[in-house]
Amino acid sequence: MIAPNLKITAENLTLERLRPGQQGVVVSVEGEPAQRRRLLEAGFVQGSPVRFVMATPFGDPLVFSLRGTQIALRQSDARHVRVRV
Amino acid sequence: MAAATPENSPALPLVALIGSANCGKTTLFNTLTGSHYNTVNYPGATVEYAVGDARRLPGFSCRVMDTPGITSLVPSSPDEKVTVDALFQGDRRPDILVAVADANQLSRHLYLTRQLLDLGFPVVLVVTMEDLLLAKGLRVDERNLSELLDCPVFVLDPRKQERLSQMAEALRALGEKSQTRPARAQYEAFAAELTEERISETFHALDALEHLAVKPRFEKAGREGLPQRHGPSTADRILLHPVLGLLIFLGAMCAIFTAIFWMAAPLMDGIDALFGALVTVAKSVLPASWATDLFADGLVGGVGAVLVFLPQIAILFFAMGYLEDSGYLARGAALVDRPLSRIGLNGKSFVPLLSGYACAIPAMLAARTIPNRLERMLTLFIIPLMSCSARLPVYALLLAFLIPKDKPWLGGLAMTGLYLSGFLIGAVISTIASRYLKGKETSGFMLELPALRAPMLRVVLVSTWHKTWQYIRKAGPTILVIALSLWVLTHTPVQPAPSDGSDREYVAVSNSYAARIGHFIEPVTAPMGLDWRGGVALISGFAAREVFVGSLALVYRVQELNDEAGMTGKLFARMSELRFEGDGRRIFTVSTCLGILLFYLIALQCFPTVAVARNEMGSWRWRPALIQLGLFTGVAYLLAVALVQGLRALGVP
Repeated sequence: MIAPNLKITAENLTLERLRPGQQGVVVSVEGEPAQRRRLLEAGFVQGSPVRFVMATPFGDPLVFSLRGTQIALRQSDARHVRVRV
Repeated sequence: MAAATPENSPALPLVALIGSANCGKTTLFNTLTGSHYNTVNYPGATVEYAVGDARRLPGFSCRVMDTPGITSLVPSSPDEKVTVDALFQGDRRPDILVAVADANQLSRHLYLTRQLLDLGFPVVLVVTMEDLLLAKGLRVDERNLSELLDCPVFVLDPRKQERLSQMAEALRALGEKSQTRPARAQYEAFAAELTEERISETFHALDALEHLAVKPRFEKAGREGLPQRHGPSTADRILLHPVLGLLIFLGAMCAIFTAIFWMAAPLMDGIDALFGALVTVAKSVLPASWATDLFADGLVGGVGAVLVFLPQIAILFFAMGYLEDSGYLARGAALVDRPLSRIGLNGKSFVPLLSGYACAIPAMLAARTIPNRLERMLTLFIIPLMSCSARLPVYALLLAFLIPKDKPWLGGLAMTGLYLSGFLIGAVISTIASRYLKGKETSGFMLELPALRAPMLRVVLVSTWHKTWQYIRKAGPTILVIALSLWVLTHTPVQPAPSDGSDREYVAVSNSYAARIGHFIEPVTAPMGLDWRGGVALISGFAAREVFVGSLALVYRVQELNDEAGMTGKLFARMSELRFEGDGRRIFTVSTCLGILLFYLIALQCFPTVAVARNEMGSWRWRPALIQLGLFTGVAYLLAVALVQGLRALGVP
């Protein structure tokens, strides 16, 4: 279901909400410190373009393309990355 | 013995290869050392590093060390900590670092290089996989990158012997500068200052750097190179397809285990027959004496017991190495993350659990890649339930004994059932445990899916050989010592030749120390349907499971049967005729054999594993390792007894 809040759908999506092939630019990374650091050090820093490539067969984790490589990320992790479409 | 290698050549500088997983580090290592290397225990760590002489590096003598992949100097899982510790502590720290980075993801991989340079390490950067970048219409400007980073840079294909003399020259120059390496305190300060702002700033600086260093390959093409193809590759569309992807995954798993059974079994039979023949030859050539028996039955038979399960281990390691090198293993781990997370584990538990089907010890070491502590503990806890190669000889023997020769499919089915049951029991334990134990850390899964490529057979073969050799070295001596002690126990005290004409060997074994132990524990083994001799074999299996088969052969005096068949054939003949001393009931009945199978499926009968588990479970010390030992073995015994008695009550012989 699409969230009724337009601001969320158009401006500030969380990463797992991207459609296949859709690209966003990282706005911020949330979550607890260790998790946040892991995401940042993987390259999910502010301003980085990220593209949702495809889901894995069970629907989770999701595959994203970032900084020249592909990274499988669980939805619960992807939820902490805010992107602007 | 193992740790001797770095100390043997204190004068030679030590060069460590550092980089992320999948950056081509190990390929470069193989090229530099010509695939000749040893695995050594690094001081203060149980992990083994691959270290070898850089014999392909002309004009610069040094030793090269391969390290587990890291993305940052601040580790987020135990395997990463091992690499970081090697850089900052221990008495044999590397003198020069070779940072390895993938040309296609320079910003991500240079993040680590930047950290190493900022800390003041002498670094040479090797940029790999430019061929993939060239295909995108881009190239790396080596000189530019070198100036921007202020360190020597080599863009090269580690699969080829190229530019090695230039690299040697750069390493020598760096070594001569005799730079001081950063101290632990410097590192602590660095790690403390690594704020989120710092990380973002570093990446932004690297973005700018990448922009300057990566250029279009052809003048006409724009800054972005050739038009990029977005979306998944065709291979990934298939490998990660909701239906096809699952089928391929299941197919790959089936193929691996089929290979183990169908390819390993004849090889194992061959080794078995060979050593059976060697024992016979040794006995016919050497004068008949106590020493000859010790040599032939004890030593030669013992070596056979060590080698018989090698085919299975080598095949599984080869298959996993092949899948890993092709890039599929990471996709497999991502694929099973969801189901495994339902049972309290993680996609990263996949490789350790699969390795557990070869041997629990390397499997437990592989569990270090799991960042979440609770998930790592649960993985470590259930690894011994995966039927390791040592159990295959026991399963094979008992199933072949139980199942009529005209129904070989039943054996295959039963074997599959046994292998699956081990995982299912583990899944139940892990599910229950994860409901009650709450970890402090949130669970997550992040894993790079490397580009798919054809694996390099030589690299896979070399790593298979090293893993298999490592296994012989670790498990071999233990098994051999046990086989020998068991022989001595069954043949001492030396009995005088019987005067009443009864069988000499029989008198010797039934009056031996082993017999006394066996009789002592008979009340425990009897409910499982085993007499004192079976009890001795069972106990000896606690040193390492596969010893059980050899022990059975020994305590039931199989060697003396002059049968044409190999040892197994003789053992079968013996097993079917064996009866309890006293009431004359047969020992190896259907219920007893099933009981032994169940016991072997669950019991933790491997002391080396207990020691490794203790180590890997870290600060929890002995407790979980001992719970594991007690729980699995106790439950195995109780279930086996219940099964045997239950079947008997139902009238099964």
